[in-house]
Amino acid sequence: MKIPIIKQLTTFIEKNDEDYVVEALEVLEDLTEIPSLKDEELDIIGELISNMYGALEVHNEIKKGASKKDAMNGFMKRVLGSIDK
Amino acid sequence: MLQELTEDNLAQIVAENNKVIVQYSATWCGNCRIMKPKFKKLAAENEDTVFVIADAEKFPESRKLATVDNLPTFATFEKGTKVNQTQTNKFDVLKELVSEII
Repeated sequence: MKIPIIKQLTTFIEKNDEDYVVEALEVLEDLTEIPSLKDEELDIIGELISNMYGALEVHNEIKKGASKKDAMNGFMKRVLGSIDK
Repeated sequence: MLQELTEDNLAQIVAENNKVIVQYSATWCGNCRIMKPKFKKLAAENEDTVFVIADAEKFPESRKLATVDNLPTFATFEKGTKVNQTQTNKFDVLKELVSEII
């Protein structure tokens, strides 16, 4: 997860529409089915997908009334709360 | 057999079944989404083994059965005991992990 990417995507969603991100996710997820994909390419696509779903989660919290900062912080807490680091 | 956890009861599933393979995931995790169809494919090919998808965010008690410090984590259990685990987005690595107990 990269906070600057999620922030940029969240701003994009605010200016445009979340459907663009949802459709881009479908494309990226389909690309991961290419058998000849290199490991590093798969890693990058996986990370991009995570950031894009992260932005959608943040956007949902903003729609519910949270500030962007609180929504970002809340999401990052969820991420860290999902693992045992 | 494939099942998605709907309650925090993975320990019970592990105790009640001879061989259990778990994918710890989260809804927002890209690599988890990449691996989910592949995990389902392995489950369909090995119907005698219990394959479980556990939401690591929703089910912290179930998470304690493995060391989940990144997602997706895959863990194998045999006769109630953890055999091995790995974190990967590579199907070949997952297949190798699964082949250790099947």
